[in-house]
Amino acid sequence: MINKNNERFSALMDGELENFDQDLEQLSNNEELRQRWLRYHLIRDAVSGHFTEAYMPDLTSKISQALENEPTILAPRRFKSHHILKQVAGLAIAATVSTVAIISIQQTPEHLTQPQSYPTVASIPASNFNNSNSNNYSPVQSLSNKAEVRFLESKQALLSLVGSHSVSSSSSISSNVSLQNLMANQATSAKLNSYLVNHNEYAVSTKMQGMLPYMRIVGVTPNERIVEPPIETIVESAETRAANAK
Amino acid sequence: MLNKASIYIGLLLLPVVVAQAGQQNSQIQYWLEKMHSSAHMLNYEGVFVYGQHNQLSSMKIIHSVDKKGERERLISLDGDGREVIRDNKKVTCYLPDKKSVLVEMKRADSQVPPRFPMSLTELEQNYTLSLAGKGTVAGYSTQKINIQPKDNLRYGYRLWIEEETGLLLKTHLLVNKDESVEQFMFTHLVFHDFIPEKLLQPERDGSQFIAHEMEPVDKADTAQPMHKENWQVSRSPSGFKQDVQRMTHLSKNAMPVEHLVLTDGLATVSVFIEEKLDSKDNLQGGSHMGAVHAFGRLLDNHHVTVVGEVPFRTVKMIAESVKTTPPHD
Repeated sequence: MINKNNERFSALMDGELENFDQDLEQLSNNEELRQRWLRYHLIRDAVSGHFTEAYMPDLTSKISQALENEPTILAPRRFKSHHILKQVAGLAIAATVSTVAIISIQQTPEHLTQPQSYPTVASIPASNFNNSNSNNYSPVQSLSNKAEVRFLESKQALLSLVGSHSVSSSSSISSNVSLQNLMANQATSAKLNSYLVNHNEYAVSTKMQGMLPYMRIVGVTPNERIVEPPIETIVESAETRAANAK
Repeated sequence: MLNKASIYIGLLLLPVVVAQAGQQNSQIQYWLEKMHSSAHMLNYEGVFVYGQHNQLSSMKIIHSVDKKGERERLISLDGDGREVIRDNKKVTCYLPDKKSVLVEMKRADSQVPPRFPMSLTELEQNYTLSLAGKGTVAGYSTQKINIQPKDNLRYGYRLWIEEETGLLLKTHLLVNKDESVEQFMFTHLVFHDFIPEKLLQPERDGSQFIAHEMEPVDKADTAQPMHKENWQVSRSPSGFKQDVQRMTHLSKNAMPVEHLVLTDGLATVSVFIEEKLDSKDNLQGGSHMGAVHAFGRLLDNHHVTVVGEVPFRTVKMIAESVKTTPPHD
């Protein structure tokens, strides 16, 4: 029986089982088994690259939608000594998340070339599922929901992911709000450069030091010029240090 | 008796102390003026390191003065190939990592002789200046000058000025008395009689890059269209005065931008005000580029961005105090 025997379960999945009427009956009557059945097929399809559009709800646009709908938290974030630690942790998360995203991005062209493969759920005789047809997709959806939750849990990681990868694969994330944020950041830093040049030309320091103030444009790596709320915390932490020293 | 005697001695010495202070002041004035003029009158080639927030980078600078005027070139030696070339007419920033070239035209009024150095008496209202002995930088003998702010709304400075030429060879920008936020130091420096043309040309051909170039604003243009608004900075640290008010075009903007310059004689803060279009490229909140801080906010359908080599709280204070008053007719 497939509820006791994993090998039998796999054999049924692979279509290598004879006399499986009883197994099918079990499958149709047992919700837990059915969910497992769907899950296994999902995993197999994911691994073998047989995802179709039906299975790939536009994750990126959903995520960015969710991000957009998420209320902006206006309270200032205060991290002090753990600041660097958090950044490192953020990087680690970013690395993990980016792996996930790269896989899904690479899937995209493949399912475009194989639109006919529409596996698993559809290939199961509908009669065995007629009492739960409307639920057929629920495991898929719950999976993608989980993925979204995971993404949302590390919103920052996602943003840094977008920063590091999406430029090269912009076609698949072109609708992504986060990408627009990134572009906006780049535009902002370009505009700040422009302001800085104008400022330098009128600054006393330029009059005193010639073009030395331009070392801030030449010498600063672009990443540091992104809008950076923690600046205030840097100032504050310097103050706290001074206060503690007294 | 002893007390009386010491008072008499003190009274006798008072003029000496005052005279010495006066002498020190005139020396400081002398060094600041010398530094200021030498920055524009020497031919030299040098390598320096620039450090901020625990990050170091090295750059090469070439400065030339000849019949073509003053020309300067600053090149990153750290690989991304950024480069800035500046002459009498324009400032060109080559940013290969962004595949872009940023060109800002200099306006005629930027050639107006600078007000600096303003009188030490004015500077001394907000800073304590002192001579701090001699030191050697890049093999040259230098005079050290310490400048401490009297509040925490501006940076302190330590300057190392080359004794013979007056060139600035090393600086520390300081907060909280002696915490360095930014420093620069020459590691190698050679003075020349003239600089070969080749050394003043950009390393790379910027033709494949995206050019952000702006047309210079004609004088006729400058009166319109934003002067209908009368912008004011209602709160700034003591000693900050408005130095310049001008209209400009940013290389990336269609709309003219109003530019106010405030300075206390050492630190400078720029206030940029432009009509808000739908563009999303305006800075909201804070940012920094080395010791330069910036703060942006929306105000009555305009966008205000404040940029300056001052602590973050200062740009924020100024940005939040910008307001518009009805025009006088």
